[in-house]
Amino acid sequence: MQRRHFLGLLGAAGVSLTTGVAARAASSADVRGLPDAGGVLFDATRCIGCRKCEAACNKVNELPQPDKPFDDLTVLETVRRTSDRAYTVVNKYVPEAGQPPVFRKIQCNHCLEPACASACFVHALTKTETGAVVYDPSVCVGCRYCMIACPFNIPAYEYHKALTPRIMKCTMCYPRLLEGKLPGCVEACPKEALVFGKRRELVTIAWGRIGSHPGRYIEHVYGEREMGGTSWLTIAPKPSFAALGMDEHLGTTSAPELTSGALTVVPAVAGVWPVLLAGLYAVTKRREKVAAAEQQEAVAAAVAKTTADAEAKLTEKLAKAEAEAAKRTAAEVKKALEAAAKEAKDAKGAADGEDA
Amino acid sequence: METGKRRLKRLLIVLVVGVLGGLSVWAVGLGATNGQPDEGKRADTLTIDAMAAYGPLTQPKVAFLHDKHTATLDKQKDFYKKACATCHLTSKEGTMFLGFRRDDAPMTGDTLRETFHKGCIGCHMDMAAAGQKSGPKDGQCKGCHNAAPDVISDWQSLTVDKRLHFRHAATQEKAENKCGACHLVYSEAAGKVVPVTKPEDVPGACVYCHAPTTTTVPGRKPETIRSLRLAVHGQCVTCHLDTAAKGPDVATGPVTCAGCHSPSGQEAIARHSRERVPADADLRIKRGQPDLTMIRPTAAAKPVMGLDGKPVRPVNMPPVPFDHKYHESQNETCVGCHHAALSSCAGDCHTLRGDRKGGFVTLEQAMHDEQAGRSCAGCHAVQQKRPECAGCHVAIKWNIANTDACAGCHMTPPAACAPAEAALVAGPKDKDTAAAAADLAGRLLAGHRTATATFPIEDIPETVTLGSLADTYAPAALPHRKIVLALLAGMKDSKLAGAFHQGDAAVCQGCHHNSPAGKTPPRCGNCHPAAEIPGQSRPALKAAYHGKCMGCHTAMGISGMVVDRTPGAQAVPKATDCTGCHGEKKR
Amino acid sequence: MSTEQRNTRTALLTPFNVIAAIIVVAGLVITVMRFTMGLGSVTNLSANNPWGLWISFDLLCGVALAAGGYTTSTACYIFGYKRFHGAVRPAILTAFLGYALVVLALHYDVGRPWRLVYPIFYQQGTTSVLFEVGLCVFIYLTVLFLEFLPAALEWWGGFDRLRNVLVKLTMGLTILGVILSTLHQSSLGALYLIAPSKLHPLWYTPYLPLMFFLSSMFAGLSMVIFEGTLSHRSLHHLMDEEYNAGYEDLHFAFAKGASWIMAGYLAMKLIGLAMDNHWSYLATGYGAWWLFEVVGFVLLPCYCYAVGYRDRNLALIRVAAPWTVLGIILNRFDVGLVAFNWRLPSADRYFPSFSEIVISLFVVTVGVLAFRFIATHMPIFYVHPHYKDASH
Repeated sequence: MQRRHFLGLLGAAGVSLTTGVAARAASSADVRGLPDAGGVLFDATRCIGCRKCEAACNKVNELPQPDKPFDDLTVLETVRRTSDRAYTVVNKYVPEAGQPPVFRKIQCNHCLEPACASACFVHALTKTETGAVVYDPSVCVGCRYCMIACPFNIPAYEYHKALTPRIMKCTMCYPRLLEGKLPGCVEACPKEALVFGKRRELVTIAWGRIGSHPGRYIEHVYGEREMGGTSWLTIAPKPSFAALGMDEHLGTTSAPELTSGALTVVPAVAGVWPVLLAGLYAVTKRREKVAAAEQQEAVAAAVAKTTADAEAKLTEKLAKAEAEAAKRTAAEVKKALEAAAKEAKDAKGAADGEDA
Repeated sequence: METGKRRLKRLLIVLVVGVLGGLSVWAVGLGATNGQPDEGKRADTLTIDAMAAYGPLTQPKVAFLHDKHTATLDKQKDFYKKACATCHLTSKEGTMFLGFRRDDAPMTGDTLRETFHKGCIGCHMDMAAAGQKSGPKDGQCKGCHNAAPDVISDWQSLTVDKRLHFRHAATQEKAENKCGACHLVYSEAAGKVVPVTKPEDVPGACVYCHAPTTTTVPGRKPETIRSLRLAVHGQCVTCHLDTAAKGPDVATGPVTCAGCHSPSGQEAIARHSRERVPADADLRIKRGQPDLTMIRPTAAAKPVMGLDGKPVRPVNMPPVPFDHKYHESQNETCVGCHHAALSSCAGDCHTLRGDRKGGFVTLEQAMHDEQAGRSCAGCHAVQQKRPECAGCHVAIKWNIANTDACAGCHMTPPAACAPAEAALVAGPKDKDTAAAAADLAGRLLAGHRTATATFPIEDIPETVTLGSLADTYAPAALPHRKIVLALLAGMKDSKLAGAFHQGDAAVCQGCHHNSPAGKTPPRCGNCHPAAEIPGQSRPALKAAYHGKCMGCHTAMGISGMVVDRTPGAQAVPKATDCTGCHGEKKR
Repeated sequence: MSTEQRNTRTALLTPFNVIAAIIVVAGLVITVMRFTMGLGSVTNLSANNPWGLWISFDLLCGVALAAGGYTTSTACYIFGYKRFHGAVRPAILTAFLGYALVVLALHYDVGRPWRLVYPIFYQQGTTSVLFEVGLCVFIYLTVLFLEFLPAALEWWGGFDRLRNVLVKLTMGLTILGVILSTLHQSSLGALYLIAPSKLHPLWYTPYLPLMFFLSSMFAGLSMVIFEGTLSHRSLHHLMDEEYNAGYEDLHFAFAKGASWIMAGYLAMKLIGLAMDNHWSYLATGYGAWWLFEVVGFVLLPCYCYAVGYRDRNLALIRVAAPWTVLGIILNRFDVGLVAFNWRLPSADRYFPSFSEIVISLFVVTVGVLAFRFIATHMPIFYVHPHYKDASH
């Protein structure tokens, strides 16, 4: 029991050590990322909630018409999210009662290390050099793991389609970017609340605006480091990003880093388990062999002992029987002799009687 | 099998008990902190934590309601025979000690505790024995030492504004020493504070000497300076009580906490001020201060000697002519600018180089820090936040590099005045130079505009058509003249605006920014590109228009409101009302 | 109609068969709906809740509960418990059908099921934990099929050479099975590592893969006991000497093993709480639910297993086994449905639709029917007389 169990416990301990620790061993190379990738800066102090960006996105991407037209601003009374018919929505928030509302545009943030791209098991989502994270419907299986993975809850799915459902999400107008044009929403915004440019330049512009207007903005550029950094950056007026429905507790670890630890276990298990299990098997087999040998020995010894015992018994019995027989013979002889003697005496007596 | 069953039962019992116990503990913890509904807001809550000076407190601080006690005891004359003296001792000179049944002499912690307990609980017990409803008694520790008392304080600090000061000064009209009734000054010779004799000797507001807590100045006799609270209550409340003692019909000030410190009390004070102070009364607090002066750094006591043996002529920024009288009229107290003393800022504290006494704030920072409400630039920045100013000024950044703006205050004197100024700069600051400073300031400010003006009305285009980007929408017809006149109307009474909008083109710069000032400013499209250039922080033309127009409307708070006085005027279009400014283009 | 035929007809109309038939017919109807009108018409899935009952139950629970295959074959062949040999084939069959049903259910859940082979053969998303799950499940299903095939071949007859080759491969297939099971059982937990903001802190831990792996082990052991208990009741007439000889021993040994592993699992749960200092969450509503799951469905059955083993109390063990199975289902449901999206307002939370529940029942019913067919026709609970010596 001991050895087998001990090895088994060792294996379990090994698994727990490897799975619990995020592995950094994936690469020691310094990944520079895509330095010239584009991005968009959204300035929530400029947005007036006119929804022109939604209308432009709908037109450029040839999406179906919504139930309420884009100039109907009453939809802003409800908080919406992206859907299979809307790559982007604008929501209204009232961070402080009595103060004017603040608007925020929601769309794919085109993360630097996208959770969706890392989660997709057919590589249907990829991060391009333009900065856009694009979707290839020709390989998508429809597993919807990207929707689970996205920390911003952006991808939507065409559940109403039976045979050709797609993931629907903002593409940063990738085809337009390739033609040198601006994304549809950026072009349409009348207040230039959306600014397109190289992401690293946008970070500078964002901090510049924060610095030039002390007290107006929250001193943080959302997306600079969240989930490893996103291409879509947001600056907003005080009090907080949380008041605009943005998650302030996402942390700076990118999603691929969260699962890389678990994935590094795979080759380790594939490599070590056969050895471990073969070892266990060998140990088991050896024990069985030893047990079998011991058993055989014990059996042989028992047999030998039994045979010897039996033989001794037999000899003893034989001797006893012989002695018995001899005794009996002697007794018989004695009896016969006595009978003969008696007979002889009788015969002699009869003969003597006649003579007298 | 049997043992197994029994053990299982035992385990289940233990688990159930444990779960129930845990739940009940949790529920109790939740309920414990629910307080009772409050009994209304009060301004008389005093926190008694004098024992804190003797070590960590073993009981929570006591929330003492002063007005409640005085009001209740007022109805119980048997227990309030000595009025304030029931609880407050008086010194030989007749000053009331503000501590409870003790004077200033130091005492041990135990003695202090005994004083409180015997005094408070003793009186409560006496009253209870007499059948009166009273406070917590012996053994009811938490009755007083309540960590979460259900009183909400609406105590507000009181500012003695000019009207209140006028009313108080009026009571001393017939007195020989008008200011000395309230204003005391420390006299080294006398070894104590004495009433001032001349207005010029008034050190100023009480806060200049009295800090929020009692301070000690070694070497001073006496060493301690009472805290502001003690000093003010000692002066004001005692005087009000003494006046009230003179007769039932003698007008006097409040003697209760709520009378000065509650919102309703302060409303009453303000109302009385409005009613009793004549509309044309001269509210200026006179202390011999100048009407006009030149703001300049103090000349160094020992001038720097140059290599040629002669003193180096200090080349400073031109001094600033300052209309002190006008600025006084725009502030309720002196403390708004003179926050620590009435003497010159640059004398001891805010020197050119910065001094420990001034918190190492240099003269330049003291004058120009726009974040500080009491600097020149800071106060002006606060004024710029008003709706009538904010439209333009929300987008104008204070920029120290904008050297043209310096000359607005630091006026270079014309040749005729230059010698006078040089002498002023080089000389000391005292009574003699004050007259010269006032004279110079008067001359420099003579030609200064005090009201905003701009180009003649016929030179201001009536309508400006913004059509270079017209695509989905028709060109926008901007009612240019109306907007300019409306802006001018908003600042017509502001001398501040007038002082800083010296040129005719100044008000144009609100919209026609970042370009040479003049009668015909360049078109926006000269700098703002027609199409967005990625990575540039300067907005493209469409965003420039929308940002400027919508930004101004939002900052002024006029979005969607009718501001035009002409009958049948349209409201200022909301930001999301596109066709309000430019109609839809008919295809 | 002869008496025999009539008897056969009434013999077929057992309550179980009737209910199973209803479920199968309903399932087929919903299948047609799903493939003509889309997922939206049969599920309550939404943009916020992309994974619902089919993933939580059919995939997560299905894979966890099919873990009896590798646990039993490991016990028998690697750890050398020869007396459990009779239990291997039923366990392998359970596991094989379990995995086959997982794949069947996936055909419903996934948007384009005909592309399920794309990640393996066409374009590999190797950064994805789901890729690893898919690859391992694909290979493991093959392994299970190969481990099951000898029984079918024995039944079909005439494939002796192939059958012998497969039997010789048993050891290799078993080792491969353990490797693959370790990988994909833990990876199912690792799937949720990517969404820390969406999973309640009491269930989200970097140790999720280890939790899923450990729980799969005692899930498998419990399922073998549970399935054995059920089979004994209805298929007892098929069970041979070898099976019956090891039957009780198996239950005791597996109870002991499960108890130990559950203790380790509980220790890991506590370590997980301590590492991230999440104790304060226990005082919330979700904390109460977590305690209900862990104390009520892991701690208590663990104790019952231990007591049952020590006191040789088979009845207690046979109670603890389905209890543990329920605990596993509860845990997978908690991770996938209850603790997931816990921050969303209740209006946005998910509850399965009637059709989803029917399909899940349909899948399980198909599995039970298949199991019944195979077990009653093929040498699962007994050794085929022709192959008595050859089978090992």
